[in-house]
Amino acid sequence: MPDMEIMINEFVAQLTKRKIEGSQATARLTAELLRTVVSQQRLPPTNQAMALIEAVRGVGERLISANPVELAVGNIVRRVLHIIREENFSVLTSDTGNLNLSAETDDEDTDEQDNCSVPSVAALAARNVLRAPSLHALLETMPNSAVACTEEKSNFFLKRIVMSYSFPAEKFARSRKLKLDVIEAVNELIDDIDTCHEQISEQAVEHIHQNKVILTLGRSRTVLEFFCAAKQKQRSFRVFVAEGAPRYQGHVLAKELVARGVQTTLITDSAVFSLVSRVNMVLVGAHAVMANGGIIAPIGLNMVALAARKYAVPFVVVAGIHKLCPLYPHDPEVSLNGMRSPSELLEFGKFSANMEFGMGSGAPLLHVVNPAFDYVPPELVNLLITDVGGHNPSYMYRLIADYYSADDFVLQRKSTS
Amino acid sequence: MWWRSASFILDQPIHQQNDAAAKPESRLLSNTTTASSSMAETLQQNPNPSISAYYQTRAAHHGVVTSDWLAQAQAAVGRDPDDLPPENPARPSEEPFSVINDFNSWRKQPDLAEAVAAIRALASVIRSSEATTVMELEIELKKASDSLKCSLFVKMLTALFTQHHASWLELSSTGRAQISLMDRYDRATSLVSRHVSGKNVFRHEIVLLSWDTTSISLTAGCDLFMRYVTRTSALEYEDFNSAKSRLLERAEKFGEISYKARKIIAMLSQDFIFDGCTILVHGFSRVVLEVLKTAAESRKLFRVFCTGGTMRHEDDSVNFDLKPRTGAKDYAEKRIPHTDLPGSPKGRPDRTGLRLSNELAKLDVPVKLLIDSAVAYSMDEVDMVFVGADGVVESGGVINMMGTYQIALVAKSMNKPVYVAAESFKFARLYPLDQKDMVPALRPIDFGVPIPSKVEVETSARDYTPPQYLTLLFTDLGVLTPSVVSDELIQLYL
Repeated sequence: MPDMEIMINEFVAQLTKRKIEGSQATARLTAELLRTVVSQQRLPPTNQAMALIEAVRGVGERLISANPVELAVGNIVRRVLHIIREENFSVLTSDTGNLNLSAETDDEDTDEQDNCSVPSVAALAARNVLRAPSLHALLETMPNSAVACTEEKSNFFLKRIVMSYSFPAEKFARSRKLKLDVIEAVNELIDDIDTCHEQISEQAVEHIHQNKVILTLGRSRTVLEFFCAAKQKQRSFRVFVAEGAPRYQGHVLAKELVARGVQTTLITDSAVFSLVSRVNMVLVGAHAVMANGGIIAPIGLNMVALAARKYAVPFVVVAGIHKLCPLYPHDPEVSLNGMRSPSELLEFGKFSANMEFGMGSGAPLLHVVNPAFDYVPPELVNLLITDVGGHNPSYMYRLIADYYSADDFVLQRKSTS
Repeated sequence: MWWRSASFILDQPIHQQNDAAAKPESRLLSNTTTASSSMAETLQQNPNPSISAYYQTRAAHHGVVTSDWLAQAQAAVGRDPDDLPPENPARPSEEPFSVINDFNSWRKQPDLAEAVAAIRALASVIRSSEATTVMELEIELKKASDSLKCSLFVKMLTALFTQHHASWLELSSTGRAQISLMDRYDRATSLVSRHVSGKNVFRHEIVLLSWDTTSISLTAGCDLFMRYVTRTSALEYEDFNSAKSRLLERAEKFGEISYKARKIIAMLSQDFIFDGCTILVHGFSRVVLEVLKTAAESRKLFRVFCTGGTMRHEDDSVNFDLKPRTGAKDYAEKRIPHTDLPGSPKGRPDRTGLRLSNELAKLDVPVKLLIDSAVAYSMDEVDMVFVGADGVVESGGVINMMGTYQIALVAKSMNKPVYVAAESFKFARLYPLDQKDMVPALRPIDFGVPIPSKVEVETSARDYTPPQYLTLLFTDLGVLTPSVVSDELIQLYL
């Protein structure tokens, strides 16, 4: 599959050079790439799910290491892995469903009942592998090879009991079925990513009421669409836009809002603290949402969150579900932050005279630092509006359990106990 | 709350009835017989085999208390002619296998958590059971599990009553293990009320005895075990023997998982310890020790502040009141506190912080010892707080050694994260609404000087930290926020 390799390498290069802007675009491209990987993957007759998982994992690891700060890549990889496991499970259960049917037509044997129960135990185990490890599933939780084992077991019993029913064609049909199911599900995922803005904007009416004043910082496409949807429903509201130095994306947002007839006020970032007491709500977008409910957001939003908390103004974050990352931020200021070019602050050429001066070793005395992101802890966030509804930050673990499998949290090949 | 009010009422009889005959160890107390420290004292006296059993085993593990002290405790108990050795239940040898014995033998391993020892003991109950149906097996397990939970209570009651009341023996031999703790209390008090008021003292002792520490993790672990192992969904179609072996398999697996839980927790918490950080640790938790050990072994640079458990300053030479005996010089040189000397009041300050610092020093980790009062003073240097847990409750809060709540409050006010490391078998179906809402667990506290009679001593051994002061919980189920705990518990009991 040299084609595959070329595609992957291209994408990795784009990621490394930060050519792709925005989580949504990155997520979409990643999903499409993984879809191609799945469809072109040769599957062995047994253990198809494992083979798929391995393939996706391999590609996923490369993508993630290309741009570790762009968490959407990892999210989508984990989503696809979860999809594979889920589809595999449903294929298994539909099989055992067939199994039970066929068993009943045979003679009543304790043997048969035994064999019935074991595949269902296997299916049960597979289902519990999907769920995050919980007290409930403590004894049924098996390691990764469980998926393989259960596959083998069900195959084995297929052969044993229903000799007359199993022929290679059925197994082949099953393998194709798995692939098709997975690709279908990944298509759904891509659709979801595309339509996340619409789904979020549908909720705008519930949160933006008449004559409200809303504060935002920088420019987020989700926020823009949110405002537009509210405007379309004839809500009258005003928006304070903080410009969001050093990129000044707030200026762009202000122009767009005015073009849609929303009354806008443009302020500097430094003025946020003095004006936040006069707004009803702060509404911002996020770069990523972490498992504890904290968010990674463009620089400056931590200050805004603190200001909002001080004046008891609700701090609302809008983010698509593809931004939900199942990892915990143990050192977000360092490991999840990227540095942008200092030229955004200080043009090359200006102050270059100062750069020349240095200490004895020649190191310059003036450093220019331009971090891209801020971490806002979950206590400061009041509401997270996603395409599946508005939730408390402490609810994130539930969404994670729905969309991700615990086995995929650590994608690097580290040895675990 | 019945137990508190009872004590107020019954404190009076104790003042009048300082019945030295009933408390042989009182001879060993050189100092006060005043009723003020009666609470602390009586705890140290007869219930020696009971309350101290918990601390006794821990002491044996920790080696902090001198063997002299232990020998005295044994001797004190042994002085009662009819007394049975505290290690064996009074149950006649009709039962060749005693779960208590097994539990105790497992518990002797210092690295094993109490709940894991209980689980292993229950597994061996299955192995040695002669039941022929699953229901019978379940009943046996339930009996064993109850007796484990009440084992401490049983011991003390046995020790107490066999001396004096044959009728109690009667009561005890008829299916004692099936009686719950509350029932036992009721029966015991009714038993006592049949006797003359001259024996008020026994009722008082019962009340005090019911104050005994019931270890939360032990109870939770037993409950979980019962639940997992006897879920018979996959056992319906099998004959009994294979069902039994399947049960045994599950039981062993549960024991395995619980045992490995510590390693998993250590792995999960590695990312949160970064180079150059300062960690504040409270008390001695083997799980936290494992976490720090793993971090030290992977060459991370960090330092640890140990708090917890010193009632007085480390400098014991302050205590001039006691007349040490001949062996005192050795003790003084080894800097073992004078309270451990025979002839001194029997309370020991809980030296858990000290023990942890010893362990860490062995790993070459820079350690600093703090007394509990110095936590706020040092909190600004601290990057994170790490504690273990006696139990994790439904609200997501934790029950841990006294002082944890304090530290969590200070950490929260200074925006420092508080991390809890707890295995999943510590999740308990409790929902304390305030500090007094738990089964009281008392420990002997000694101030080193005689205390006037009017002065009460707060002797509780643990406190409850509400979930809003905790940042994350590291469990073998993964890293959890406190709000996930109640979700887990619901799923479990679904």
